[in-house]
Amino acid sequence: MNYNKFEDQISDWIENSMDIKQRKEFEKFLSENPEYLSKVESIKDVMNMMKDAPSLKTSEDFTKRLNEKITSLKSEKKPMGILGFSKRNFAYLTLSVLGILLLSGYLLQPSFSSYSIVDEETIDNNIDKEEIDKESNEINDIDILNDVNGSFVTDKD
Amino acid sequence: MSQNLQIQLTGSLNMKDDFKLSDEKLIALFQSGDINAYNELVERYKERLFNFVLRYFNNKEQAEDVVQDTLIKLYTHASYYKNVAKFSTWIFTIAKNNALTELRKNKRKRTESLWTEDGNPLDINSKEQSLDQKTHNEFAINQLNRFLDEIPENFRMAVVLRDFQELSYDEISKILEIPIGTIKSRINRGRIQLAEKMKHFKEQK
Repeated sequence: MNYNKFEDQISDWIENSMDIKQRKEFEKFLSENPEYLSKVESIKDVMNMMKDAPSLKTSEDFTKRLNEKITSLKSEKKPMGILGFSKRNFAYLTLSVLGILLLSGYLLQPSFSSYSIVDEETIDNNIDKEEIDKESNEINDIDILNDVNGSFVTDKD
Repeated sequence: MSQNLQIQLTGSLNMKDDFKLSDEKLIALFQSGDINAYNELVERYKERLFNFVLRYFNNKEQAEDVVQDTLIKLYTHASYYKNVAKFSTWIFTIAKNNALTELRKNKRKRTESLWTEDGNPLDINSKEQSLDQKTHNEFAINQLNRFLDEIPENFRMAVVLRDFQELSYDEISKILEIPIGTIKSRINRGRIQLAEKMKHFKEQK
């Protein structure tokens, strides 16, 4: 054991919180270095003085003042809440609910619903399809006329 | 907390020493609405907390204000206490946090020592004692208190909780939110510094 380790363990030794091996090692160091015994004794003295030191008292009216503070705290009117919420929280809650309702209403309108968008696309597709069918029919008519006359015939003919 | 709690200016539960309720039992009683239990806790802790907080400020009025805030918090937030920690740990932690908040708020430096150069206490409650009544031991204790103000705060608070308040290392570790190993080391270092100061003081005399 060196001096630093000895110093680190003084309180443990005084408070008897060492295991047997540590205690023996500490006491061996102390017996080999009796000059450090006074250090241990002075720390013991300081500890005893602190243990026995009278505590400082609070003011005589300490408890009275405390009770007055508590009484005034109790008599302070608490701000009236709404449905168990503070006014501020109630305002936030109301705004949130209104916001959700407005957003829902906006999104659920037919012209803005996802269903209506698909529907419009379907309608557009159907119109395109009708035009294509019409054009196909016209081509078919021309082919039929070609077959019958053996020559290229147009509607104008 | 019951709204019907009545504050009683007259004291605490009248309990004999051999039938003293534990702090934990008292806080449980207070949680169920017994104001006498609160008054008893105030009586038990006001001076312990005062002597602890005083080491942060060295200003009696400020220390009393912090202790009062702590005891008001005990009144208003008693339901926050859960019976998993010792009551003393809980209340000292509140006191410490209040003291640190107050220190940050005011950014005040600690004022001069409560103990004079001669080791006499500046505390008004000690004025009742005449110099003649003072024993040598009392003088040495006052001097020790003065030296305690001179050691670093992190050493001082750990030493105060251990040697004045006689709390366990585990409790001190929880209150100061520092590992036990560090607490032990700080207490040991603090004691060594105090012992050295006392030794020099005695040699000078």
